[in-house]
Amino acid sequence: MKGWRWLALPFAVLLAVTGWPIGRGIWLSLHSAPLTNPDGRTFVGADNYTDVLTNRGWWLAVATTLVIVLVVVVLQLLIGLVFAVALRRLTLLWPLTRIIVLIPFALLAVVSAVVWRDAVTTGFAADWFRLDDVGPFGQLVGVTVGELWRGTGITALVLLAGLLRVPSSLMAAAIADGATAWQRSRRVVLPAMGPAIAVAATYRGLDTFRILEGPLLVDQPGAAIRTAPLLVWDTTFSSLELGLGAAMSMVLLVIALLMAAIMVPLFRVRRVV
Amino acid sequence: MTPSVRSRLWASGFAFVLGFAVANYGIIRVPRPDLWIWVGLAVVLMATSAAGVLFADTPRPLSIWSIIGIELFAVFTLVPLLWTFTVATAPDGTTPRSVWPQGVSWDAFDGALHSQILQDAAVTSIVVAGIATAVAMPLAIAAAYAFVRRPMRGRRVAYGLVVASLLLPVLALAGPITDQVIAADRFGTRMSLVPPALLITLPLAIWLCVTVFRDVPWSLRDAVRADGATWLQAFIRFGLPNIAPGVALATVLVFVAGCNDFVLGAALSANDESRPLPATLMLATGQLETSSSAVAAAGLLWLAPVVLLLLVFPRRITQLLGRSYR
Amino acid sequence: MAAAALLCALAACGSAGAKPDATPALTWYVGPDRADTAALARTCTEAAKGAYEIKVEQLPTDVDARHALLVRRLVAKDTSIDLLSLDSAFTAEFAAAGYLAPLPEELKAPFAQDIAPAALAAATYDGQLAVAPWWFDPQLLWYRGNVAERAGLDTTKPISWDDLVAGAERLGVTIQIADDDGSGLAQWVNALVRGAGGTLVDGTGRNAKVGLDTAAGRAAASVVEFYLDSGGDGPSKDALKKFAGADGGFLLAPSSVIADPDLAAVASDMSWTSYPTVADTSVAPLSGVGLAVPLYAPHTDLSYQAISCLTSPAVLTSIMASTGHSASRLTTYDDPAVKRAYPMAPVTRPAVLSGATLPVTPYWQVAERALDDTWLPLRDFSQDTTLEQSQKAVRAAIQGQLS
Repeated sequence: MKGWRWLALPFAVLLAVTGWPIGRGIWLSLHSAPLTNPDGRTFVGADNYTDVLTNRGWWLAVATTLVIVLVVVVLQLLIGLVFAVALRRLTLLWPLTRIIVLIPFALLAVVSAVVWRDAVTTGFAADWFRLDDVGPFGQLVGVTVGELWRGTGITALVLLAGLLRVPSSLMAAAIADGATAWQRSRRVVLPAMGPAIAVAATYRGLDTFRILEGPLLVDQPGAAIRTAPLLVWDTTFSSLELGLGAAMSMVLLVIALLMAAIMVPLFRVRRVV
Repeated sequence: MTPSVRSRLWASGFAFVLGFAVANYGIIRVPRPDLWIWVGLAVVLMATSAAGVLFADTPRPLSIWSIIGIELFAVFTLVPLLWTFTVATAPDGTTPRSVWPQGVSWDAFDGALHSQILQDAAVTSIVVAGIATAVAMPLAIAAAYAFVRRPMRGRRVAYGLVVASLLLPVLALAGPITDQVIAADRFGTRMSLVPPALLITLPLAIWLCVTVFRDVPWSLRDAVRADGATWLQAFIRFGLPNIAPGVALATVLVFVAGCNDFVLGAALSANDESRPLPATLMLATGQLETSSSAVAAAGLLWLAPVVLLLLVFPRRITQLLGRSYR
Repeated sequence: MAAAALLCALAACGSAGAKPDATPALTWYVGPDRADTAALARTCTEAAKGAYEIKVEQLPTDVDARHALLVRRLVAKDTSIDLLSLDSAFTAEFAAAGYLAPLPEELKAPFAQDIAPAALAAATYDGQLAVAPWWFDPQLLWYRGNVAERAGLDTTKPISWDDLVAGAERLGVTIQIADDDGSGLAQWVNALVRGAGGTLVDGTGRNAKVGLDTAAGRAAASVVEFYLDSGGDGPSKDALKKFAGADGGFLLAPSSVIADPDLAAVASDMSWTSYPTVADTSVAPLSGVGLAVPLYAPHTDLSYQAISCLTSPAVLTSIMASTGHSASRLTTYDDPAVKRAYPMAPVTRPAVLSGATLPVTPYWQVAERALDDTWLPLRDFSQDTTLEQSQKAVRAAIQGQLS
């Protein structure tokens, strides 16, 4: 129990900075609260929630977001794994590759979204692949590819850390026993890397779920496809309906929680301190 | 571990086919000057293929597959970076079409460096992230010490909460926080950004510090203490050299993460005093199409210190990040 | 350098606080209008004889960006704005939110004197004059050379939309609709609905009636559909350039476009007549600017002195004569200088009296977003589905619900 003496203050602060806004969000979500009409703040009970939960556009946006998350995470894992394997074998280049691998992640997401949008509308991707007026959907794909590009390096790094944990003696034994490459990767590498893959998938998944910059950048009136974070942002900060926005925020939190609740047991994420 | 001849020949074949396809597509569809990038990649892939055939039977641990992987990795990472640079250096009034810069103009960098609004934004970002980091680090060190060295009941739950707050969609809290800040009559002040910034810095700081502390050889410290060293002696002889570098690096990473946060800054930005850099860049692009080069230039300048950091501590950073995620 | 200047302009930077020197500086935030605000600021600074000095800052061109920037600054009780060129469409919302300093009683009568009724209504919220009406532009039907005659249109009488669209299609020229700041679609639809005898949004509260699913709404939608079927682009930012281009024929745009540099090449060849009709009378979209003082402006009395100067007959005359903006004060039309340099008066003066302003409600901005979101992109517009969706969406937005 002595540990709690050390932990008390950090946890008090942590709970304050997360718990307070969540509490305020729940309270706010029970009101109709237009920012520019302060007299219009009225208690409406669960009306905002019934509005959000029965809205087709909202669930469409949630589905869009989840599809983006799935595609981006799977691609990041695959590409990251290829790079991780290559990086592990070529230790000669490590000083250089170590730097390159992290630069995209350090670039601001806003900047990455801007240059990727330009790439598919007027820039190199449009030029190379003869894209002609990609439209709002194409732009959304563009900024999503940008997000994929930003996160692949860090994914590769995590997977590399997992690969380095594969015991070389076990590998040597497997080779001596005449195991094929396929058998080696299934029986030796994957079990040892499992935790790294699980953590990478979970973290990247939840990180992709919350991206806002790209969709916000390419949004335009009449766009057919929007993501859930974008709808939350629009309602709260463009329509200035703080109460409705708070209700959407809380639903978004619950969805993120459900994602974690599914992914953590599914991948057996175990990061014990 | 030496790959087999067969594996190398397969890799050579793959590199050849890929190089051939790249060369063909490039020559047929890609206009100059980017054509040369495609041709260059094709040449490199084909050279790899040739090398694979030539050295198929060498006893050296040379993996052709890995070389192909590294080549693709370099292209995948560097081409978009080059594109960012090209956008940033596009001469005024032109929209670049090729990755390779055609006409380099430094006006956007010059403008970004001299722009009062960007300077204000950078100061806001740095001050806010700096304070939030300074508050978070001592707390995080205490928490990490408790997690690693003071086993207690509920440790897993507590750690789960840290990770949960690290990964929760901050956007969902942006609205309520803004409402609170307005209600407290602090909207538009620079300091109103600090408590929300703790939402970014504190969980990340705890998370990184736990990794740092786990890698410390604590048994050595216990031995030193058992030999009769005072707390202070143990701290100076053992604590500083073993913990300080990791904690310093974690501090820097937390600071960078705090500087790069977009959502909370954008939600709380009201005027020049309270608008951090990422929010400023988004605002500039939301309203005008032609400002891409200004945004890209500012982004690259913002990136420069981080790249410097990566150049100085490449190994420490990759280890810390890689192990943290494990 | 250019990039820096842009960023600066966008974020409205360099806002001067109170300086230690004797003359208080008043910062005047202006929208994307065509008046030479810098010159007007100089005029009034000189007229003040050292009482104050007006500095001009630019607001974003895009209406949503302008709205967001102003709301954020005003919520933050920003003290750096002394004077504000406030869109007539924002006035009700900002007045309801209590962002504006109340007009001094003794100024209400002079500010409201001889103002066109529609402009006065747009500057009033809850029975109180909230801003000083400044200029108020009606849209006109502009055409090049003799295209109207060749299209068989009689420009001495109001032209109906149907005749206009059919005539332009026969000639193979386009009908462009100007959209300077992103509110063009809403202005167009609103004017069409009003022209057909309906109201787009009726009421100021959460329960305001939306008039898109009425007979008037359907009449407006059929005009839109007929126009789009003939190959029209709808409201666009490039309208002026296209009008000046090869197949340009007709342009629907405010009176101030006459001063726009994009039209310099064809300006001498341009004629105008009243806005096309849906039913019997011409109902032109009206939009304008009122001068307001934010609640937390530090020198409220000086700000109102500056507004008195900016709304003085001399200044209004110079705006009308040099830029084509139409003053809200109707007596300005009678000035000899205006009569010489502002030849649109015979058309604009009745248009100001019969035209349609955007609905005056604090919830207009969300209604406009919902309208844009359901009508755009116009190539997917269909009278049957869009109208119904739009009615529901605008209604929900005003009620504060998801659509």
